[in-house]
Amino acid sequence: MNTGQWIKLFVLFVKLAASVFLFIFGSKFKKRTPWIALSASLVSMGLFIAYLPVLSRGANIPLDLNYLPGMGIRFSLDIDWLSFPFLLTEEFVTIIAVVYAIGYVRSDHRTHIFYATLLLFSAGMSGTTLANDVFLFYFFWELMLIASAFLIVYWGSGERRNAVALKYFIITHLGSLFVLIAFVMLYSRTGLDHFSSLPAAFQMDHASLPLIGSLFLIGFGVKMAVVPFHIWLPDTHSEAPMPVTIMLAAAMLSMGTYGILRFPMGFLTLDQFAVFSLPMMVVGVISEIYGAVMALVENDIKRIIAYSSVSQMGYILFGLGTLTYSGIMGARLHVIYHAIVKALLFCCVGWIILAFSERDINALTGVGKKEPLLMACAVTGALAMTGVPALAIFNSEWLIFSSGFQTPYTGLAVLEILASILTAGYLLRFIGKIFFVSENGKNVDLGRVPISVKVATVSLVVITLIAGLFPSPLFQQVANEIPLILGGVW
Amino acid sequence: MVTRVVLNPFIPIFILGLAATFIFVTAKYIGISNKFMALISAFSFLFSSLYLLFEQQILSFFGHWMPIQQLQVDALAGEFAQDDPGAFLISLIVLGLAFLGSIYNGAYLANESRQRVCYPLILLMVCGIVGLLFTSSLVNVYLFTELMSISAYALVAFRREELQAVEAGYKYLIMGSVASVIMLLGIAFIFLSVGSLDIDAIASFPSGLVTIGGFLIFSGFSLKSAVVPLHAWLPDAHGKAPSSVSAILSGILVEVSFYVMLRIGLSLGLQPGLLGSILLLVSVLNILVGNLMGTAQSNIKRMLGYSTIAQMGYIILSVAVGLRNGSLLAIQSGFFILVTHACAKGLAFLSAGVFNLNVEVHEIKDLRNRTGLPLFPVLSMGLAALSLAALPPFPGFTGKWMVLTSLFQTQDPYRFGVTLILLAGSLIAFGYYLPFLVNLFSSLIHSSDSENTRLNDRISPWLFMPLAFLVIAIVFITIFPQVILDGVAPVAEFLLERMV
Repeated sequence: MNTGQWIKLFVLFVKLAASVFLFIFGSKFKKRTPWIALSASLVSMGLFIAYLPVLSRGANIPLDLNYLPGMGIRFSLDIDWLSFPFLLTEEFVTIIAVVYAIGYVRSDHRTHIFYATLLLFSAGMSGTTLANDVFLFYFFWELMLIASAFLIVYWGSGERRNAVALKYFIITHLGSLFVLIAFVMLYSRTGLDHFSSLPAAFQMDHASLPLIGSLFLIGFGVKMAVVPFHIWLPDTHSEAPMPVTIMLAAAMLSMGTYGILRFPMGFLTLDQFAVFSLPMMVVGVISEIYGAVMALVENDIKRIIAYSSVSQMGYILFGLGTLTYSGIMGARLHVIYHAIVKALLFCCVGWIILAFSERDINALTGVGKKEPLLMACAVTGALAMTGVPALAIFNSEWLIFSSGFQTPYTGLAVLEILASILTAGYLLRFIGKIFFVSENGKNVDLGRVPISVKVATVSLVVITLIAGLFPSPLFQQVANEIPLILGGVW
Repeated sequence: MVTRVVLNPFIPIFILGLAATFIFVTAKYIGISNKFMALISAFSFLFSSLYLLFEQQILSFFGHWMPIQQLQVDALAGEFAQDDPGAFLISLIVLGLAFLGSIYNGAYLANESRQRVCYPLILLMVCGIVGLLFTSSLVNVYLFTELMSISAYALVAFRREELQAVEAGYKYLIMGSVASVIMLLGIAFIFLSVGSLDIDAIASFPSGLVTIGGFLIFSGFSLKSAVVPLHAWLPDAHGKAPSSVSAILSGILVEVSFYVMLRIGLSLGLQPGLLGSILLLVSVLNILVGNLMGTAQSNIKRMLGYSTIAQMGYIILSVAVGLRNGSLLAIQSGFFILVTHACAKGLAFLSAGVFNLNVEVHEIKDLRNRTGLPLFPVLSMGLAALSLAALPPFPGFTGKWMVLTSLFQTQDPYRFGVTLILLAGSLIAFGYYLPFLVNLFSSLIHSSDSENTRLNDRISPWLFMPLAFLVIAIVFITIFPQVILDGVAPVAEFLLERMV
């Protein structure tokens, strides 16, 4: 194996190894446990960044080992530009979540298991993006589900957490099973599960293409939590502990996007995929409106931001559904920007909960003024999510909106833009009620907010600004390899 | 010219029977300790399996001193089939599980009063299984089935002070005897029509009576292999037997009956297509009933029993797909599931036994935040449950992946329906495995800080060793599934050859 292959292996195995290490020996480290998790995720991120020059040079060789040769199953890892935005998002969000957790999660005798499971969750996401064969992809796809379900069961808040976790698990697993059927149908054609053998399988199975395509879209749609598959999301996000919510909302949802880009869009040609265009756009718009409306009427601040995810995933699905260059580009950028801003908003929500011990927006009226730093962060986050220029999300929304007009369905595109007013609506309600309404005379006791929470939140604000003001490096990287998908139309 | 002397499986059967007698007699008249009995039976299982594996080497080694070549083995030659790789594979698994079970019994049965009955019964049961697997004569099929079953009935009712155990044993006895009688009737029909009891000879005299007899034998074994709707005895029996016995009963005994039923059915010339279709229908029922009933269970071992019914469904399904379409891969994946299920279910029952023994936990909800749970069995039970629930990358999932793949490769007209049932079954299975795992790990993660609620990380080495061995086996299969896939390939080929 050459250095590049080792790096790919280590991007994944650093986190897995740290996780196993923490499971077994973590109890001996007590307060230092989070730092081990943090260094593992930093090393993983560093290795990934260090690999990018190799990728740019085109010197990338997949890691490829035998696993079950009798079934044509291999252990194969690869990084390419298609998975770049997702891997970047996932690595970055893990770091933020771990930093946030240092202060947020009460330190006790089971802390090491929390961080170990968190790393396992993160490794599941890395593995999903790194996997270069179907079996491995499905393994990591399930790993992230199991790890996150266990985090919700054992560290969730609220009495209903067991039921919520079971619902989350069953519904998301049902989605995975759709994906599994599609995989098996493709795989049984060639008997090889390497990604490179999938195009051949698609060609051999021409008759059942619409079926396979729909199976993939439904399966990944469940993970993306677009309407009507979103039912697991609000409960899950509101019951999960905040660092896990950050990882779920900012990183895990976009794994569905990765799946759609990688499998149906990566291997079908534009003509073959064209049937799915309109359904995807319609579902995208419906999700966007539904999520925004629910966020408007919801009173629990955590659920408001959770419904915001449903809405934002609608943008991404719409962008993908346009099947235009700018739409897909916009969707891929939106994955990264949405991750940053959604993480920021959830960080702020966590901060509010820590400071005021309250989740009901009506009880929080006007209290925000006592925390000026929080106010600045939350306002930046809300404005960014609304799509104010110079803050990250504007760039990707612009691309997505403009792509809508390149399709025959301009009506949908107009609806999409009009619906974004709702986004502004719920976010202005959110910040307006908490920070800008005059106080109703109550004296609120300020809870102590740990420094790590503040560090994570403020650094996200900085990153939002940088990403919005200097978009060009990211644009260049994200644009790589888009020409290759959908049968290489661009 | 040196003639190849084959004493398999006569020597293993003989050794097991001898050990059973020896333990019973010495324990009754001299009185030996539980650990000594455990060691003797473990040793006889070990020796039997080694003999099965290395017969030629052992014979040529002893041949230097003994005139083995002149041994009169003609009398045995017609009674046992020598060329059946499935019999080899399954009897090795049986002997392996029984070996681990015996070591486990060294601590598990320490406080029971009637160990001297238990060990000989296990030995006789395994003796019956090995004979049943290898025999090529129908009358021996009946005899060994009865030896196996009667020992199993007695073992289920081993704790005779518990009313439910006696009830379970009695239920098993009644239902099993009916099955045996039906089987005997089938054998009688065949003898009436052909005048021979040699399985391979009968195949060349096809007649209506042989077919009827074949189906009677087939239905007799269906009950013993817990085919729905003949499964009612299983959860009671496996739930109430001592855990080391449940591990053998659930892990492999039902599969033994299934394999023998398959081999006899194919040898007697039953149509593979018809057989496959019946089995396909039955497997769907098994998957649905086993999993649905599993969700309603509160007792750990009963839940595992229902899980066995469901897992039998997966095994039968794969084989049925193979029979219907002549697919090697499908049969192979069925036996892959069989092997992995034996490891995982054995491990699950042995772990559950430690909970029963050390902390008196029988119900799933009692696991919740339970103090003093032994640490290693919690982890090993978790591993077993993850594999049984078919989560990747554990072997349970690899097996299902193979079944699904082979199903789609065969272009079977029912493939979509069967896929839906299979996946629905595994989704329902999460309905009980997931809460079970949550309860199981809650004591690991949720227990409060104080010292007396910590997990107990000390268990007897007699209990630890079998658990550790099975954990290693499952991890090994997870990392190198190809080894098992290669190992079961001859079995699948053998069965395909039998299909005419």
